[in-house]
Amino acid sequence: MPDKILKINDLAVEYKNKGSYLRVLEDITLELDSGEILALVGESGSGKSTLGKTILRLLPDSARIIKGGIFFKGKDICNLSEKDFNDQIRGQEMAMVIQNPQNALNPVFKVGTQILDILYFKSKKQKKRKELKKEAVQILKKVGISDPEYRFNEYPHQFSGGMKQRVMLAMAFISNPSLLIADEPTTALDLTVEAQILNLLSNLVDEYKTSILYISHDLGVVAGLSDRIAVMYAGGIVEIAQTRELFDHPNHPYTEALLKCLPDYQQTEKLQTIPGEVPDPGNYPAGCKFHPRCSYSFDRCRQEVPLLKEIEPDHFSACFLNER
Amino acid sequence: MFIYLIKRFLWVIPTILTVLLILFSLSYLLPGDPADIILGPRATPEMAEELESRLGLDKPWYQSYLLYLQNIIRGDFGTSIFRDRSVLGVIAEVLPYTVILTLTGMGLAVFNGISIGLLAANYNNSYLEKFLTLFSFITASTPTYIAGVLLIVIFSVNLNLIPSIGIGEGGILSRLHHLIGPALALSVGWTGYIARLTRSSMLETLDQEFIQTEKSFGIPRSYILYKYALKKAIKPIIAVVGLGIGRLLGGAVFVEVIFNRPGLGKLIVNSVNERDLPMVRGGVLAAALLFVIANLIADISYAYFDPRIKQK
Amino acid sequence: MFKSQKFFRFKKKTIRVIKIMKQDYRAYLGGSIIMLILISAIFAPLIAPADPYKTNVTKRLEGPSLENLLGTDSLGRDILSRLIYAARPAVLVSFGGIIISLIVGIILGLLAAYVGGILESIILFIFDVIRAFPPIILILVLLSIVGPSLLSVIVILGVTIMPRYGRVVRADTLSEKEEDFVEAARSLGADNSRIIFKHILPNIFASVLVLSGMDMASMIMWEAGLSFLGLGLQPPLSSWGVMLQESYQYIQTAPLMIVWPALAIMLTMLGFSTFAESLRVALNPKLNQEV
Repeated sequence: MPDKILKINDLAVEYKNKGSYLRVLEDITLELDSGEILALVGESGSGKSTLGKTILRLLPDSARIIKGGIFFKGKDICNLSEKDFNDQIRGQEMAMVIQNPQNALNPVFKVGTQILDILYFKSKKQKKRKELKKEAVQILKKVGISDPEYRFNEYPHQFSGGMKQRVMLAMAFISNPSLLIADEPTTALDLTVEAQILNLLSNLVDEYKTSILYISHDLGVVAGLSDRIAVMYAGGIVEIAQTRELFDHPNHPYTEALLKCLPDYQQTEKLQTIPGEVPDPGNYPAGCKFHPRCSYSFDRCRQEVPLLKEIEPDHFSACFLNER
Repeated sequence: MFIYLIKRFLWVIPTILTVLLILFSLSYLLPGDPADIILGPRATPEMAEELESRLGLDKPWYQSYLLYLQNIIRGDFGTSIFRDRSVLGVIAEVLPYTVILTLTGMGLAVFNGISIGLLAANYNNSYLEKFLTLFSFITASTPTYIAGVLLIVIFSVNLNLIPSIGIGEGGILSRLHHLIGPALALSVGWTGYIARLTRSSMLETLDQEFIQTEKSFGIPRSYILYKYALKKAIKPIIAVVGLGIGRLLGGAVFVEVIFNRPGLGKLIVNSVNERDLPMVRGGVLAAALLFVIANLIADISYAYFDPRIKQK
Repeated sequence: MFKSQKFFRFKKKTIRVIKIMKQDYRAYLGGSIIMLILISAIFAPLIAPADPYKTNVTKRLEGPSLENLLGTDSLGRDILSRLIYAARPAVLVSFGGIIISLIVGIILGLLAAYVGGILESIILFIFDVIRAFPPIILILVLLSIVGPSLLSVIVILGVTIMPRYGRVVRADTLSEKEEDFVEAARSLGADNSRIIFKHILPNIFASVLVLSGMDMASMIMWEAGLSFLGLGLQPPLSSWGVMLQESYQYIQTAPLMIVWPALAIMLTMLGFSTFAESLRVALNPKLNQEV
């Protein structure tokens, strides 16, 4: 069995908001094998992006981890100082690609400059920027930017959305990270471009053997990409299973509902929606947070919080239906 | 962009013509006979007659106005009553002091303002930030002359660190020494303003997604702050500098009087008190020209930094 | 129908603004400073410990004492009393000036927006010419024509600041004119004055209110500055600017004397600007993050 690249233990995160604390993540326990692609799926507001940012310490100052730990390659990275974290983890071992490519690149700097800076800090300031230029152009070429020499000196607004996302991927893979956190990297793109980017991502993963935490609201996108899927709801994980297993035998009512929302290209059934909305942190219902929207809910759901339990080998779910 | 600039430039001409008309009509608006006002109390009837025909005061007002315009274009601003010298000469003598004072004041305001704003943004939500925000708010609402007076009381009278009057003699060091107080007084209001602007602009920029991306790629915080965020955040600040120079020109009037420095502002105030009409006209015209130019630069820099206007 | 709807919106907004301001310490700080100045101005004879014009040559330039809390000036007058009395011209100038600015600015702005054509061009041109001067220079020139007095200072400050309101009112009126409810009201036969008072004025009220708060502060600032230059209010009248000017001559020998009027002006500026700031934030809650 390969090593665990990432291990999250019973993590809880709170936001400070006008004097009171809002718990946005709770009871998060997660493992990621090396080379594995784990998809984190949920509606917007489920806390999946927050989890990604927590791992990379990109949350605003008002947020803090109050419980649990994050272990990267067996090392507790919550206790690293900010400087050590930046020197050892960010851009060295982990990188992140974010949702909206329009906003992901600094508009007032040339694309080349931004790549050079990453290379420069990756080399621990040992190499001169001039020496690194060749490397940077090479990287642009690798992610399929045509005429990279010329593109190197252009500003982000001269790139299309898909090209920006290619540049983002290029930047992310510069450090040959062990873990890439991809926060909905294709959501803002056209379908055809989305396919190209996903393709590029698969190629890069094959080449670099990178593990990926792929955050998405779209089960359809992750189906063909991920090895395992973790479903999040209202700040907690409700189900984790192998991709095939999850699609074939969804256990949690929320997962089931999500799958029913998925358009089937044969359109045999009418598309469904989940009634109601994800509750805001601070307004979470007592008991299972999903119970107000769940058609199977019963008394116990309103009183107790279900915990993640292994119901089949490698298949975890947090639902009292399994104990009935 | 080019057409916008031309339009903006052409618009200045009627404004300046009207400013000139107002200045011209001063001699009619002030109580008394125009020729007497222009010549001052020591004039003889013959001198008045000679002046009347020379300036066309005996002709209809519009002909007289045209003559006035002609003289201005030729560079003849008349003769100062009080100083008995050419108005243009006096202005040319004091103008550099005002320009240097204003530019130094603006330089200080930009440097200090950006530094304070950066510090506040960097230490957001700390006590330091609260203090700096309060400080910027207070300085932003402090009138220039109050700043000048308080600076003199504290640093000149009590601590004896800076001279309170004059421009210094001889060496450049003495001149710089005499410039510190006035320039600082002039800069106070805009320091606060620019600090507030920098802070909010930086916080807005630091909140953007690309900053998070840069962070996630391992670029150090200080580097992100001072290279990536600052370059984005600094644009609105550069855009207001032109505007600020115009404002500081007005503030220079007080500073020059308080610190007893030669300059355009002091010249105008003194001339108004001395009822030296040609001098007032010339000084006000020079001030209005500088002001219009500063505003023009402000508009152009706004246009340059606002891509929406740039594209038009 | 349209009227009541519109008016209801206005009232609701006002209630919301007051609610937000009630939670903002800046509103209290600014409000109490403004109240302090108003009370000093209205009840000066009751509050002031001494007659502000009573000279006493035996007690010149004295420091603070129990009898004269802030000391005496070059003519032996009680500084504290003069400070309190000086709130009167400050209040007169700021309120008088802003009323003139508002009336002239609103009328010209409405005219420009409603009549349009050559009149609009002329009005806009007047605004531009006024703005072509640095304010202090324009004020100096105008004062030299009419001569310094309280009334002329008020009128001239009002006229100098006026273009700001003219432009705001014109711009807002133009955009309001396009709105459906005004069109609808007109189609129902409402006449122009009704539209202006019921629809347009309540809508521009907010932006004008914030501006006038700040401008009242700057009018007090200009008045004191002009008097300091000897071109505004004239001694022996008690005004903070006049006091500045009188004490400036003694800045080397009795530096404390000039600090009092300076602090009074600063406090006033701070009061008006914090209040205006709080109002601005309350009117536009999105701004709350920034200060």
